[in-house]
Amino acid sequence: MRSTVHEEFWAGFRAILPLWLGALPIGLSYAVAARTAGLSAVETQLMSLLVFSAGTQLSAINLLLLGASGGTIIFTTLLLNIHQLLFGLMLVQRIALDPTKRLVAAYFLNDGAFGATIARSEPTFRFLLGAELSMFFVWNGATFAGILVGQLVPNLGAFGFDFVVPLLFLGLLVPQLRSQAALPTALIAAALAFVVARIAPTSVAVLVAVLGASLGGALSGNEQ
Amino acid sequence: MNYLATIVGAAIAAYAVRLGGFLMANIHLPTFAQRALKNAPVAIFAALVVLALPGQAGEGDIRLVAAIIAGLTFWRVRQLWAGLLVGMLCFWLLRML
Repeated sequence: MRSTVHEEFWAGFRAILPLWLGALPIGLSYAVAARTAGLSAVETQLMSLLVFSAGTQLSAINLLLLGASGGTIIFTTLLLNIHQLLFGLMLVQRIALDPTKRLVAAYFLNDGAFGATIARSEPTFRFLLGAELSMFFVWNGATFAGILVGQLVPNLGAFGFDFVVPLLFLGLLVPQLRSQAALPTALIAAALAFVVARIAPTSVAVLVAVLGASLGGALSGNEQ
Repeated sequence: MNYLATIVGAAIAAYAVRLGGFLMANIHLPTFAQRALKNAPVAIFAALVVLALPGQAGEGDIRLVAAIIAGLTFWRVRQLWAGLLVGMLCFWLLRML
């Protein structure tokens, strides 16, 4: 029993390894940007430990540079992560989680870990936690490295490692398309996301796309 | 300058959103909402692909081509790592041309 518990954790941890390729350069550049914007080394690391969201942290730094207030930054944080409300709801429908596990799983929740976990036929808390901590580990490690070596790092953004992010989600999507009902849902979601992202933040586009496409699918009687 | 209050505020906001969904577990959802939740992973993955695909560097066209080739690889080979590898290699190859 003990070994399967560990296996699940490490399976989750490993499932996120491809995303490390994307997270490393973004984490490094976040740290450099944060230091440039005037955050201390401790504040820079603290933000990765406490907020733990690439999009939120990068936009917060941009907002600080633009002289935005703390209130604006906090509101933006809500907006940029609002889609994760849905992630928690979906995870808790699939995995039995006692209150303590919910508190822990919510703290480390991130898009990649959610995706890898929900794509499993039998998702477990151990797998979810492994996937979550995998991203937490690399994100904070990259932040720390960025604080240490800072400007010495060549412009890793130029290599386009972030392309691994859409690829990973594509890799999670494709096997799901084998059920007939899934294709229209995917197409509606893609179209909605594309349109809404033009006028609203990314997370709002995700939310609208997911609610629109999955409700549309459910109401038209498409199951699975 | 001291940004601690802002950081803690943002952390609380992020945690509130993440925890919110987990705490809604005990709500009884109507049948069509449960069906919608079953469809949601597909919708989420599709939306995230579309949103992350273009990138910030104006390379949307070659990323689209590389993603299509990667998608075919995921479909045929059914191995995550194979599609990721093919996709990244195609992307790097195309931007060198």
